[in-house]
Amino acid sequence: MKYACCLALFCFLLTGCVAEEIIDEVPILFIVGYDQGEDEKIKGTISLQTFDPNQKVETRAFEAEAHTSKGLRNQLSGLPKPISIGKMAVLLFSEDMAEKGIIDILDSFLRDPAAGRLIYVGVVEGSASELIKNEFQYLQGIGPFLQNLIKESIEYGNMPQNNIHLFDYKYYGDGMDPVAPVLRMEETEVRITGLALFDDDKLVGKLNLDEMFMFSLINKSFSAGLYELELPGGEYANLQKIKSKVNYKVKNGNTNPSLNISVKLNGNVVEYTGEKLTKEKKKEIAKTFEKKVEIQGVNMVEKFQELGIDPLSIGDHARSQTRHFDFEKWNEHYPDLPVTIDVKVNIGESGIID
Amino acid sequence: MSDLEQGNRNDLLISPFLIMFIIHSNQVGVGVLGFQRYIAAYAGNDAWIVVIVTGLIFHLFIWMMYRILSDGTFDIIDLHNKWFGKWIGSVFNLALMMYLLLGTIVILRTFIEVIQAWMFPELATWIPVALYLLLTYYVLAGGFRTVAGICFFGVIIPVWLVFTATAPIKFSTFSNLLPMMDHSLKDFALGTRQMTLSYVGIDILLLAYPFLKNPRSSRIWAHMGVLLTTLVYTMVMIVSLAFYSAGQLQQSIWSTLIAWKVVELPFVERFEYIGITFWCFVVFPNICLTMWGASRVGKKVLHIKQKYFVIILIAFVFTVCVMVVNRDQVDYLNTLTSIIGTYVYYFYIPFIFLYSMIWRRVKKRI
Repeated sequence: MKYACCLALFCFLLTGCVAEEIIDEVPILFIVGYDQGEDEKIKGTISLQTFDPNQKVETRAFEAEAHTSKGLRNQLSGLPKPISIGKMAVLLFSEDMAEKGIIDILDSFLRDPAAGRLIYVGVVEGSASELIKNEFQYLQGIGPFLQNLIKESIEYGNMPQNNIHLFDYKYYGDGMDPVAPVLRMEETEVRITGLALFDDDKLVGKLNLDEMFMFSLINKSFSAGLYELELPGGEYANLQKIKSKVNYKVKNGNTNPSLNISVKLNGNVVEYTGEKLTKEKKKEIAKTFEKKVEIQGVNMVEKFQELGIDPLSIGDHARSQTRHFDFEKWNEHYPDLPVTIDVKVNIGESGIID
Repeated sequence: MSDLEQGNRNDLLISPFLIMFIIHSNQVGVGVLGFQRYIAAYAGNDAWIVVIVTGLIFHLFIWMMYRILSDGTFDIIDLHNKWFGKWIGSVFNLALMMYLLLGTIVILRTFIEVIQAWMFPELATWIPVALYLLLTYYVLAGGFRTVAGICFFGVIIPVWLVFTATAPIKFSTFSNLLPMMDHSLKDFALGTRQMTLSYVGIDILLLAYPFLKNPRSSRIWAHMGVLLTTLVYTMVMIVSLAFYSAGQLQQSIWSTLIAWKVVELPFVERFEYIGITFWCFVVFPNICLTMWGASRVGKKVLHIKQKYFVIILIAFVFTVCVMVVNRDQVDYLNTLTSIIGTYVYYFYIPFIFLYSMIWRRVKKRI
């Protein structure tokens, strides 16, 4: 009798405490795009997918305008509810939106316990809304497609690591500024066209694909995809599996700082347009590559100094190497910080034939 | 004479090594889900050193406690009565009971706050409180051996969560820990005071001591318990310092849970939900132990049967937990416990330690 009572009591306790959400019925949100709307509003575009086991995956795009990100949800009339943001994969911002600052919108995702921290933040050249609503046929839908696109270019390509967590990390951290991939919709596909540079949360500049590669090499130890190098003789060599080992040395961080970045690169030559890949040629390739990284690297840092941003986290490196580091003094010194880059390239394998 | 001295004494006792699990599980609670920012607020990138230093201080407390308890198989309730007489001793004992109850309430309510913030925002407070307290009654009805068993499983079952620390490392910057020892002694001291709250809980030793077989030989295991706690906290702190930037860490209320967001498993998108679920096993021994301690006081001081006194305590804890309705009040409870905990450890335990030394000297001379 006692046990029966207990059992009954527990059954009563365990039912319907909170609203249920069944995966097959809840529409899943993978991607949101933000554009500048009319009179200070933001325009949000979402693409929803429903996974009904009886039908094929259904994707639909919706659009609304409001003053806040969560406010958009109320505006999305005719939308199946509740929406689950647990699988949110990509947040896109149009350039004009990103120039005004995006932290308010990111904050709404960072604050929400249901949202992940591996969400990618991207900047769209043109309209984010059009990119989401485009009619290219993706098997998995636009959200998962873009997620894979960015993920693969980080893992196998030349893009530095980035996601909403790292954006937040660099936004709130001193002596560093966030970066994000730039996307563009072209006639038949969506492409990554470079790296967006932020001053805090405001877009202030961009790197193209070539510069992005250099950025990745000197940013932190990294292993990149493929790079096509032009040699002085007019030939081309393709380098693959490039591994970089990077070391930042800041001297006199508080008084009269100077920076030296030493980069050790290791790569394989997989394609060469010249006649024969001799030892001398390999040396030449290495020398050319060293020069290129040094010159482009220094130019890039100078560009950052002019823009007053620090996407390479130089300030943070200085902090970690200086006792009682003073950020105020650092910010004064940063624009005229002398920077040198030493690059050592080692060409390893060159394929299975000579 | 302790009441354990008569009858089937051995049946009520536990192996000395279990004190390791008891101490460790009573120390680790909800605090580890978000203690990082409070320490880093003072000690910044040196916060992990503060964690180790505080751990060492708690080894000292363990040593003191064993000195306090060194003769016979008395618990602190008996000793209070012996040293201060019945009346003042009872005041001490009742204060101890209130302290233990506060511990129960803080950990239970804070954990439910986590559940409400992360998993079920609509969940009414009384439901999980009731479930937890029903279970607590069930365990306490089994006596101290059952409580010790729960402590054992409360450590063993969630132990695999340690490996989840590898996921945030992928996004970590370990140069955040440099330069080492860059903070003043004052910062370290203030950090240590903050860190104390995460380490409190070894006081249960003062009550559990007579329940150990060969209590003297259990000392090494008690130290192992604190060591285990220190290792876990140090690991969590180092990973958090590397995973978050300084400013970002100050923004994160539940740093450990947020770091779980980057754990990628093929079958679950939000790992925190699994983490929080397993945390039920971490929280439960805390509630059992503190409630058990409080009911011991009730039995010995108020002479109410433990069985009935537990019901009174459960009703009390239930009422208080349900009355706490928002985050500010939960914060207030935590701050209060932190302050009281500081006094208990840095004043009361050294005091009682010195008192016991003097008392013994004096007694010897007579």
